[in-house]
Amino acid sequence: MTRKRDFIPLMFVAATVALLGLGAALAQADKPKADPMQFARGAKAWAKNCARCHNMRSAQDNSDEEWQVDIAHMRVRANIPGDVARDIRAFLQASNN
Amino acid sequence: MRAISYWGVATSMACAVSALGLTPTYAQSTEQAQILERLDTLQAELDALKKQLAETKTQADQSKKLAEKADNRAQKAVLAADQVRPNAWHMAGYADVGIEFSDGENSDTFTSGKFNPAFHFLYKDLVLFESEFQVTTMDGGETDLELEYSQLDFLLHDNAVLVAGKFLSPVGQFQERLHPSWINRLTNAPVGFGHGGIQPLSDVGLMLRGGIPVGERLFTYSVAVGNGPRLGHDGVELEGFGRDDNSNKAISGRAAFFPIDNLEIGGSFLFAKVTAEGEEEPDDDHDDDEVLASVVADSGDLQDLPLRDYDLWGFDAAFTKGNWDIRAEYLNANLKGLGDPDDDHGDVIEPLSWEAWYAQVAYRMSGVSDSSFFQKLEPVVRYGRFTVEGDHDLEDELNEKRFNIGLNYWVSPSVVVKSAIEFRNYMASEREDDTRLQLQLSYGF
Repeated sequence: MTRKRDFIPLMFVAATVALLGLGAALAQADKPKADPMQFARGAKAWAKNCARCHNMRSAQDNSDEEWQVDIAHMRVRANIPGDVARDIRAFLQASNN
Repeated sequence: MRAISYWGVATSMACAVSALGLTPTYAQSTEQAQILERLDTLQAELDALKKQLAETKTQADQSKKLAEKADNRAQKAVLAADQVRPNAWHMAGYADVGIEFSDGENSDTFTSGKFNPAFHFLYKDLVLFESEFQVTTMDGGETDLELEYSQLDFLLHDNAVLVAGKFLSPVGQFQERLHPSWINRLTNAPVGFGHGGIQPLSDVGLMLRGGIPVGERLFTYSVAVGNGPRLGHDGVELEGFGRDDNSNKAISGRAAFFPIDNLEIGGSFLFAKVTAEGEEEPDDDHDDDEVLASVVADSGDLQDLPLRDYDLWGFDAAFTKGNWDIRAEYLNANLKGLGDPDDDHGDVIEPLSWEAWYAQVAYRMSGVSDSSFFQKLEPVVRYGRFTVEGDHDLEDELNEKRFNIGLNYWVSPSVVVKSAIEFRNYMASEREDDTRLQLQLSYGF
């Protein structure tokens, strides 16, 4: 028979495991799935948005990490919707080597 | 006679029999020819179908390869996103140097230009911190360091970003998006824009901004609340101040729409109140505290000082398609006066108004010639006008029409050599017009 003082640590362990599982599930859910069309959408959006203010920079100008940050900066500066910015970023990160 | 008739009949019958015998033979050969012709046609159709099938198969193979390539790139993009650290950063910015020849009051001079490093730090897709400095060498040799912007951007939603800190003013398009020298098609700002103009440069406060798709089109917005401008020696100073000198906050913003992909039309506004006594300038015999003390003593409390309404509005348009880059902006600002002009005993401060506009056309020569040199050339023209009304000194100092004609050579998409002739036509009768030859090398990194 499980006594009350044994029950509390068990509940703590179960809750911890549940939280870890939930975290892992959320992490998995957050992970973007490969979308073959994203590359095409990104190429089109890159050509359409960037040239509104300046010459289009080559994808090779930046590393993956630099594009990650640079596109976030341009998203804010040029009022680019988030989903379009992610498409552009995916295109540039896939084209910089 | 009868015998002849028999022979005739026999001959006729023989001819008839022969004719009857030949007719099927003739009919058979015609049918065969038709069959052969049909066979040839079918063979040709079969060949065409075989060819079409082969082409379809080739196209299918190519499509499959393209799809595989796209899938690989998509996988790589996901992999790249996985590999990026949660805390990532990037340094960007620009620098320029130049030389200017003038036939006016200014001497011919090399210009040290600017060095503008910008830092961007991103935590996942949640928060971005960005800041830019401007380092310049002053006329007297001192080094000047200015904070252009320093802001935290909270990426709340695909269509909304909350900006907090010191940010570039969202009013118009030149200051926020076009002023970096590797983007600006000419060596300086249009007259009335940039430092000393009426386009606000920056503000300190909060801003909500983003882009919202409307069908196939895009609508963008930026709405800011900040400390706002102050009165200064040259009118209203439209820079971000670290503290507000009155409790009234300035509200500014811009909304833009793209009726077609390549055309952007925007409208901007700024509403603020500025403290009237800001025009007081301390002289050598009085320090700031003494001036402030005297102003407060006269008015009782700093918060009770009279405020003047400052309103600004404007619109802008940009058409960028292929080799063309066409832009125009218009701004109009008014500072309300104080006092009753009919009251002979009271102090009266006259209202002030400003107006500035420019139109600019640039054309990249790529595709015009096979020569790689010509393809990198870009002629550009700009005409602008800046006027002030309400203060004679300011009118004499600022009222100007300016025409620029330039030729750029793009070494790379972010490295440009600019040359331009600038015609400055000052509207004050006692000021002589000025023509300047400008050269500038700019590098965006």
